[in-house]
Amino acid sequence: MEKSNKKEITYPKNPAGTHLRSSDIRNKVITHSWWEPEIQYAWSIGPAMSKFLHGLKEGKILGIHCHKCKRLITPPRSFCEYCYGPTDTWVELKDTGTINTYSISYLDPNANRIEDPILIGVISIDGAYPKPMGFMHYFGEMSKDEIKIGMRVKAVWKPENEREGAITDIKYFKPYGGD
Amino acid sequence: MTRVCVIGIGHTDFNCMTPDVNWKDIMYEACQKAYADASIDPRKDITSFITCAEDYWEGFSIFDEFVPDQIGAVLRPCCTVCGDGIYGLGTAYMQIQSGLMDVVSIEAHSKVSDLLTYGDVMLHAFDPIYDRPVSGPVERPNYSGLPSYPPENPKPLAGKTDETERVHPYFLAGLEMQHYLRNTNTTEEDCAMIAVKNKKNAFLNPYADYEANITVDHVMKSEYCFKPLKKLDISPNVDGAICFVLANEKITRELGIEPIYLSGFGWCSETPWLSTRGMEAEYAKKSAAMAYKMAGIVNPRKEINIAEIDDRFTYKELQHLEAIGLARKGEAKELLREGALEIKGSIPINSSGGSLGVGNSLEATGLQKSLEIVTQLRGHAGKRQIPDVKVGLAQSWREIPSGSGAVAIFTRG
Amino acid sequence: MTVYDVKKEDIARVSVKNKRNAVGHPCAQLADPNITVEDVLNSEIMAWPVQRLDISPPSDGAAALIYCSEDIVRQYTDDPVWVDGVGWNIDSTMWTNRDLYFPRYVSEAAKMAYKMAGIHNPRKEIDFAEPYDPFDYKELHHMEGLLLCDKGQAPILTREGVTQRDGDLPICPSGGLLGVGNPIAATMGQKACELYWQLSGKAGKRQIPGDPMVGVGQAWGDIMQMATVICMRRG
Ligand SMILES: [Zn+2]
Repeated sequence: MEKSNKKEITYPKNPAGTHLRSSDIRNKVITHSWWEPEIQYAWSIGPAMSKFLHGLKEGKILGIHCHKCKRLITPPRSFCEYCYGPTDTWVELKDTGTINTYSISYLDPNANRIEDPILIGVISIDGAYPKPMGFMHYFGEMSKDEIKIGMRVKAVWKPENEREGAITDIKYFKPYGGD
Repeated sequence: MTRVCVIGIGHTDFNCMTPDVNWKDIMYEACQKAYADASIDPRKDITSFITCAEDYWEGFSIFDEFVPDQIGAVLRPCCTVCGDGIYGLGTAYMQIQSGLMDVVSIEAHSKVSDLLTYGDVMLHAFDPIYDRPVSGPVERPNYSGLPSYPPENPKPLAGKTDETERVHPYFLAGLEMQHYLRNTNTTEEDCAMIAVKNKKNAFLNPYADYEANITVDHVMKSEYCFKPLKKLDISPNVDGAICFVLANEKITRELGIEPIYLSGFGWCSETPWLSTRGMEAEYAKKSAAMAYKMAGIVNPRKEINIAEIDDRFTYKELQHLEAIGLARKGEAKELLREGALEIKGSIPINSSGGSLGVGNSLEATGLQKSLEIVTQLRGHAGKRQIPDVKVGLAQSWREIPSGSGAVAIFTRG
Repeated sequence: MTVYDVKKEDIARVSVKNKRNAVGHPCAQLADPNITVEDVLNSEIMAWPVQRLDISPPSDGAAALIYCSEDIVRQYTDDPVWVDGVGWNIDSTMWTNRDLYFPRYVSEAAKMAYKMAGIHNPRKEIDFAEPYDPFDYKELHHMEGLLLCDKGQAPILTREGVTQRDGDLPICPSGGLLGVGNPIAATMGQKACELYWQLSGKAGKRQIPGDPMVGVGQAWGDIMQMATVICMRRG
């Protein structure tokens, strides 16, 4: 940009700002505007997920085939994302599986500390394929020192009268020895 | 440089409620139909995928993550444009004309029936410091000389109040309509004629949801919502999905498809300062000028055979007609009264039924407009087919409170 | 970590390198010239194995670049930096049905960008990289996704110092998100600005020695499924 025949472009030399702390907002040191939106949604979930959630209410984990790709998919969907064809043929799967990956969570969504950390991870459900094929859930009846990838687990269901057709009809997955 | 052609279109039916399907299902249906229409396999033949969606309408943050599976884009280049469907057509146009992509899919949809607080989402788009507080809980003028909120009982924070008197953000259309009527000597009856015309056209469109046999009197007697705007001046919301497939000219010829060219498009945004910007739809004027230049159109009145104009509110059709140069200022009502805007008129507008007849499909509006133009250019419009259509224009606005809009021009090869 | 038997220390080295690199960056939020691997390993556990110093902070900030066409670039500069290639790619929403240890969407996006840029051998032709590093392990993950090393090799290169600013393949010479901060949607802007500064020799204290010719930047998004890649070249 030194040459005089060029068009000049300027830019700020030091764009680093000033520290701002949440207490500055709380104590109204900073002039600010406040707005809490009232926004609500109720999603229609469609035929495939409806059937899956209905299955959970009955204590069953359901899967659906894509015959073309040779997949047995859970959570089920009405089409296969790989071949773009419709899925077909429902199957009841076992409520057991293997831990694919996990994390031990010490924070709530607002980054507050949780004393007793929450175990969360992805379970590959037995019978569904190709691996990994399954969903995310909590783990229980195990300590943070016991949990490991490859561990065998089984669903712990809510009592039948408390189930409402939601993924949380399974309370968590617990360690599982036999078949 | 290659020209850009429309090789496939697909859409769902449009319905005011779709509790039986989810948002993925309607996207899948529209895309599947478009890919079948173009005789292509999305997993092999499409090089780029675009969805036009707004997180707040959908109810997801980062909506782009929920897109690839149902449009066939898994492990492919895919992006989400936060705007109306015509912006997606424009993005696809650039990708194809630059030679980067050969075949591009563009999808837009509305699942507005899943949204329980439509007005609140729209209000959330207003400036938070100057405009939202005024559109929030109403503090009526108080002539007693006493403060409404004495120090011991301060005014509650906006949104945290139990006061129920709040304005729906459509009041902005009331303001603009008032301005338009006054400035152009147009009457409320003229606006009512737009509702009558478009809802009548919708009878001829099998996918439209709000067809109705009404008269000017019906509209005039419908209740005032935001005077002068009445209930029947407002397009009701609708669910539906639309997909377009665009390709370069070489592939279009190889597929044996008679090309319909996307020959021009333009887009423009005004300032968000509601009280500073004009109320003359400058965004429509500028985006049309850009599209005309690209398409080589010098005299739009003579060269454009049909148009689908944004009619989310009745007066908007008239205002936009003047802004994009299909009518002189104040002349739109004359054309309307003469019958020129009817399907059998000299410049048919919103033969699909428009948003008043089909329904307001949010970000899919621009694609719904484009869908009608392409259907007419193909000669597939059935009972509403207009003869000898060669050049058509689709125009959309990003609705309240925006001053943003886009125009697309399609030409038969 | 499990698939490749990666040590937590090697992951922590990324955070140390980036926070030290950020010392020369005028916008940096978390630069620290004295940070050590022990500091990272002793920091608060957030969601095991992720600890506080493994994570970039959410930051306010904006980045802007001006592109112009080749036809008019000489009106503005004699030393343009060219955008040679771009790529983007998205994987399935259903992330619980996918392998998580190799980011295929990154490699697909990288291949698209490399093809456009005429890069046949990324390991030889790319002089430095700014991969997305919101967490320290992601830098390693993304180096592999960008095909800059074999699967499982990124932690070893880091341990051997190859990715330091004066190493053979400097990674995140800006200080990355771990050092500068994570401005969410402005991240690619921040990465692309650094490519421009390094390639035009304007990076000041952060300048990579030896006049780098080609740099690659990368960002990541959605639920572990979306990548964008940009390649730039000195004029
Ligand atoms: Zn399949």
